[in-house]
Amino acid sequence: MALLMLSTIWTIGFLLVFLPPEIISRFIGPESGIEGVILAALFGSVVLIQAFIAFPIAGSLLRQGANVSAVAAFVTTLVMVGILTAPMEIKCFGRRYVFWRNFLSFVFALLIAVVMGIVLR
Amino acid sequence: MKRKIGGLVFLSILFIGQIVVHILDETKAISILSATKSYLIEMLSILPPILILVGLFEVWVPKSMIEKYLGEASGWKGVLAALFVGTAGMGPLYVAFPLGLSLLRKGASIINVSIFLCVWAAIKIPMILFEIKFLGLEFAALRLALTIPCILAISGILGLLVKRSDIPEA
Repeated sequence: MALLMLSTIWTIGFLLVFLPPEIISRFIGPESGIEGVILAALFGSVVLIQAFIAFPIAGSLLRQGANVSAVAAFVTTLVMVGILTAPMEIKCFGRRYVFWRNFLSFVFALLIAVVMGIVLR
Repeated sequence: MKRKIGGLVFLSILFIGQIVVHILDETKAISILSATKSYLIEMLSILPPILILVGLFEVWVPKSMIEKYLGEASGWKGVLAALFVGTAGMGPLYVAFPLGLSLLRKGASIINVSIFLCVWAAIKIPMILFEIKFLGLEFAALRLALTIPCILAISGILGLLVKRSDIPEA
């Protein structure tokens, strides 16, 4: 378990440097369609950022006119889907459970994003 | 044993990666290490109290109580209890994994443990306040209002898809 945690956290360190949260602004502009939403959701699934860093970034993206659905997808998968922490989750709950929990969370995050895009247009 | 070797191989790849980055761009290498350090400190400061909590929970809370309030027969009351317990969560989701597992071992249903985990991940009061501040009340309230039914749906589907026997530790 200790080995797993160290690897997970070190990977997070690499990701934060090579895939900084600001990079997301490139692919979720106002004109980004469904691809932007899916990319934002994938990005949120992979990275692990504390809320106090993620929300200000998401807020500034929104003010810059980013696609509402994409921002919602990013925030929702960020908290609910954890690809990096999946090995730790599997240690507790097994592969089948972890696959489905993350997969379903991803799908429902897209649904939430689409509805928010329609309501908050 | 095989897993352990896999873990060591992965750690070695990270180590080599770190050295390569260090040669190419020292500033980036240092930021990787400082980010790793801050996350490591966060994890080390949260995990010990959580593990102590899990230990106390295993010893002090009777199985019959968890079965009654969060078990298969707990119905809507169990769902509400899981929602309530989940919002009391502190810190990142990985902290909730050992807690969720010990609830499961004590007889909580897969549906209720899933609600607990998802609520812990998505609905925390300080996080909501933060979201309102930076993304606006409309955005935060709508996302929250949509998230709750989605969590119930996800957990319900998980209860159908995953059997207790699929979870080796349970």
